[in-house]
Amino acid sequence: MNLFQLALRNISRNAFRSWTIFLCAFYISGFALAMMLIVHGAEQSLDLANQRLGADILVVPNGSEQKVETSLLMGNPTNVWMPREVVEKIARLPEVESISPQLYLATLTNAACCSVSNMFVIAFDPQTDFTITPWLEQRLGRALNPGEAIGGMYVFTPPGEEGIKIYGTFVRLMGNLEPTGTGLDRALFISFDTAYDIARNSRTRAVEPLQIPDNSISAALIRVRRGNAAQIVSMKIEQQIPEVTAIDSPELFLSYRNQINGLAEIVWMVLAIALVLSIAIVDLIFTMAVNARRREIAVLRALGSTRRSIFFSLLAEANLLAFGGGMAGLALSALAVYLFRNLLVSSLQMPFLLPSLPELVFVLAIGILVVLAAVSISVLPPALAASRREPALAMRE
Amino acid sequence: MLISLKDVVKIYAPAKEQPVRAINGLSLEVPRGDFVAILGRSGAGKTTLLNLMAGLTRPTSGEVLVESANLWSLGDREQSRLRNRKIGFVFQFPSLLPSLTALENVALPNTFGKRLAGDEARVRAGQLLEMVGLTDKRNAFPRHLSAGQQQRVVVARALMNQPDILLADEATSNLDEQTEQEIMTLFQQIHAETGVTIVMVVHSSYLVRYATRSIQMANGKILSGD
Amino acid sequence: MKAAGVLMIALAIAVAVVSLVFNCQAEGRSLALANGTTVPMKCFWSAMAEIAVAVPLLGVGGMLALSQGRETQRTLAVTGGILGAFTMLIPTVLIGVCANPDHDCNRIMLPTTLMAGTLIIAVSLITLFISEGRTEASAA
Repeated sequence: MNLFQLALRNISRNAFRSWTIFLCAFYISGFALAMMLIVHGAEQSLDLANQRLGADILVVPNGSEQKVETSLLMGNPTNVWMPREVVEKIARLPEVESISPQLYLATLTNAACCSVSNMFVIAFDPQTDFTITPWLEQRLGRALNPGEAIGGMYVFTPPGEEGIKIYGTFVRLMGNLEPTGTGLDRALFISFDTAYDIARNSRTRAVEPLQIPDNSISAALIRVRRGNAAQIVSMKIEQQIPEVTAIDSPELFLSYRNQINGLAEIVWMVLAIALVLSIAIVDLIFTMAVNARRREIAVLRALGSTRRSIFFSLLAEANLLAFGGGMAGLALSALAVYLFRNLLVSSLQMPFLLPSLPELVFVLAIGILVVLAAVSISVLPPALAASRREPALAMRE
Repeated sequence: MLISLKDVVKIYAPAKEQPVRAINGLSLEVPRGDFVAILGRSGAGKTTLLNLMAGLTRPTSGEVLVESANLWSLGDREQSRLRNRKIGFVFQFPSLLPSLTALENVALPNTFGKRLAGDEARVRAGQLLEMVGLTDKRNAFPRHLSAGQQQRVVVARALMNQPDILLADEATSNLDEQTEQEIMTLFQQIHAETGVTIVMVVHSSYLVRYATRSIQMANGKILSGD
Repeated sequence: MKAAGVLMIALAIAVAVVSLVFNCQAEGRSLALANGTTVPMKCFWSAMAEIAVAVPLLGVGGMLALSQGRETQRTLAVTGGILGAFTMLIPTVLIGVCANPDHDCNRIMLPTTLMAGTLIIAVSLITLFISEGRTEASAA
């Protein structure tokens, strides 16, 4: 029998105290990790979506900023148009290095001519594109041919079919992009030529034709020349072309960022309250338990236990429980967030991306340290008092 | 001299209450191998005297020496080691740890002193349980033992580290007459066999016959002693 | 053991109810064949198999809550663990669910059964561990 085994025996003896500390640690660590993963996952997802677009400025028709942001983040298709001449006008600006137009399309809902209902389809111009094309060159070693497509992470060819049917035309899925946790994971990327082919064919092959207004585009992605501030260039674009809105990269998805920041603030507040309450509860329970055991502690002192070993054995008991509860809470929380990530995205209406393994391990380590620190703070006063109490007095009380 | 108390005064001063002078300028010497019975009315200071000898309470003034070492000039670590190695304690109240078996309770003092390895400690604890007649109860938890059996285990535990001094505080006050005699005979037997010095607080004068000498206490002082 | 049994019953009910409610057939989705007839998607068959596993799991949970004998508890824990493993294997390896991540079978049924399966196995292992420990203590 050593002091560690003695602590374990005491844990199994006092079920109420043990369960209270275990559950407090379980709740705090589980809640903190789940919230941290959600908030961090949403932030990371927004950053990745920004990177995926790879543009300094996104130009969209006036009044459609929110719609386009929601489409890009949540994958709900949108139908916005502006004249194609906008591209030429912007390209003339000396601060603009490159500009590439995009078409935002959508498949039909519950129609036999489309394999996937209401899918967000993004058509890009291979001549000017600087976001998808580099990826294609790296993976495929060539540009997309007509009738070929690249999908987000969750886009797949329906089993038994030769391709994905869009308005009656099959497109071949040539690969999937890395996950971003946003609507881009559910989007299909095709070239302008393929989009116009589909639109032409749809008049005879689909229940409803795909409409792409003449000389129109949905959005334009811009890269500014080195040394120019995207914010200034955006303002200049809006001054020269009043019918468009130019969103510079830091401002992109701003409403979502604000929403996440708001959520993060609430989460930290709730967590702080829960932490303080748990510290108070554990302190109370431990004080009661130590008082009930004062004679037992006095006996241990009489048998030769030092003050120091009494103090550390009480601390060890609490920390063993906190470690068990904390690990269980963290494991269950990580598992739940991982398994229910799709449900989280659809119910919270927020993008979400799981952290990498090293990030997760780091967060878990921080979580367990916070729980151990909180429990140690809680039991410090009763453990100190118990170790300092004079044994003879403890026996008389 | 194994234990010496010189002009010891102990005043308890609980908050919001009048101070109590539990020991009032007491001096006592206990030579090695003695079996002393301390007798006195309730509140005479018997338990406090025993606690002072074990270093479980600090004297308000005076000195408590064990083998010439002043207990209160030692640090907590040294004092605890001395208690662990030299003093065995038998309490008035049930003092076995409920989460440990009889054998583990007996071996407990070794946890703090680490004089014996785990297996050796178990063998020694088993021998002590055999000595107190509880070999068949080695794996029983305290709740499954009678009050007399529990007190026998406590006696065995007090002897675990082969102490020089055995302090017993009304060790038989909660037991029936027959069990009381059995425990007292056990103390006599231990004293005869091991030569350990025993200082025992007793609640009745007829128990004095088991000791080699007795001390009568009243108001924190020694009234008489043979 | 009572707590372990009650927890197992609750998990079995969760598996059965979620499988019953959140499969594509229950949502009105089915596969249309070329000849015009419709057949259930594979998540429906997974759901039926999950219910078939949940029923004996309910029994195991009930018996575990009431059992006293260590040997019985150990047998029940092992049986519960095997059923828990099946709860996880059915929607992943043995039958599967729909490929579309937006379907409820993917968003709700699959994670719930995986989570419940993990917890059932954990409860079974803890039960096994505790009953082994008690047997050793009583034998010592």
